[in-house]
Amino acid sequence: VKIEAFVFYRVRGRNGDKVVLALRDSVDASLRFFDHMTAGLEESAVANPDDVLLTLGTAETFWQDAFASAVLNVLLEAHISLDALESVALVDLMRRREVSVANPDAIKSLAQMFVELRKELIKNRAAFWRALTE
Amino acid sequence: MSFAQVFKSAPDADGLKGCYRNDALTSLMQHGCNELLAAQSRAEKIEGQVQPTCARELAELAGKGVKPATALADQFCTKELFDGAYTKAVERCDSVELQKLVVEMNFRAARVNASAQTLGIDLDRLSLSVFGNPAYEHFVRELGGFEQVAQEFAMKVGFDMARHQLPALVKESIDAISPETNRIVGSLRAASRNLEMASVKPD
Repeated sequence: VKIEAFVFYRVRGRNGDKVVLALRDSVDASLRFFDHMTAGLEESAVANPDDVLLTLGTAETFWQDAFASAVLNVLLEAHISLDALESVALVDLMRRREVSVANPDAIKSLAQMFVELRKELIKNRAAFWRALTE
Repeated sequence: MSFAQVFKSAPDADGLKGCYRNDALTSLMQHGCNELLAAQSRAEKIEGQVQPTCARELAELAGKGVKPATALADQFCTKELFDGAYTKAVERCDSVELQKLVVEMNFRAARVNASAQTLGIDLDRLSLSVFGNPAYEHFVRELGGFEQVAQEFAMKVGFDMARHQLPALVKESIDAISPETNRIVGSLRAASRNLEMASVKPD
């Protein structure tokens, strides 16, 4: 697999499969994987092609798929605004768990899980950096 | 001066304290953090729940009273070395921010497009009657979200181009703007021109 910037991938993680976004590091033009849009460089990892299980596409091409597009319509109807990476991760999780797109309640509850995860992330990050200087 | 002291002078949640950016400082600390995480992953294999993340692991470490090795960051901590390293870190973080904004903007464009399709709105001929019509409320809200990210991106590009020496990276970000995004920007421009024309009242 050739890794490209601005593309989402499903990768093998230390604690299970996850969705990441590849972005370029300005220092040496290498690519790094980010597993959350709020993650800084220090939380990103060098993009390793061996970890890639599936190429998911860009923030544009990913949504041209019929299943992804149907999920997006449910999110729009329910006014759920997950960010670009969370939305791709939601669809990918639904595929892996075989959640039907005809089950809006399941989609909403998974989406809520991503919202909670984001809150927890931000809280944890703040706690870590606070602990650092204490 | 140790790195931790510099970090302490970084702005708090209200952005009032100090003048250093958190993202650049944490990026300078990266080496220490990564070493910690690598050591932890060697020491224990935690079975994950839904989507365990780096931040959670960092918080767990903080809970155990473990701190990143600050040696690498500390070596920057003479005034001159720190300023140089910090400036580079800001540049590096800005470049990542810019790329994230492109991705978010393209995603918002996909949302606008999906919303327009559902409501039968032709994005190439965006009628002013769409605005203020309750039937199109969802669409207008999506358009607002798109516009917000697009403006952030435009500001960031302007700032980066003026300040940094990274033309290749800025160009790569601009090239990554999706055709969908360009189409929506174009139709917003046309709609805004129509709005201006409509609002010019004859004397």
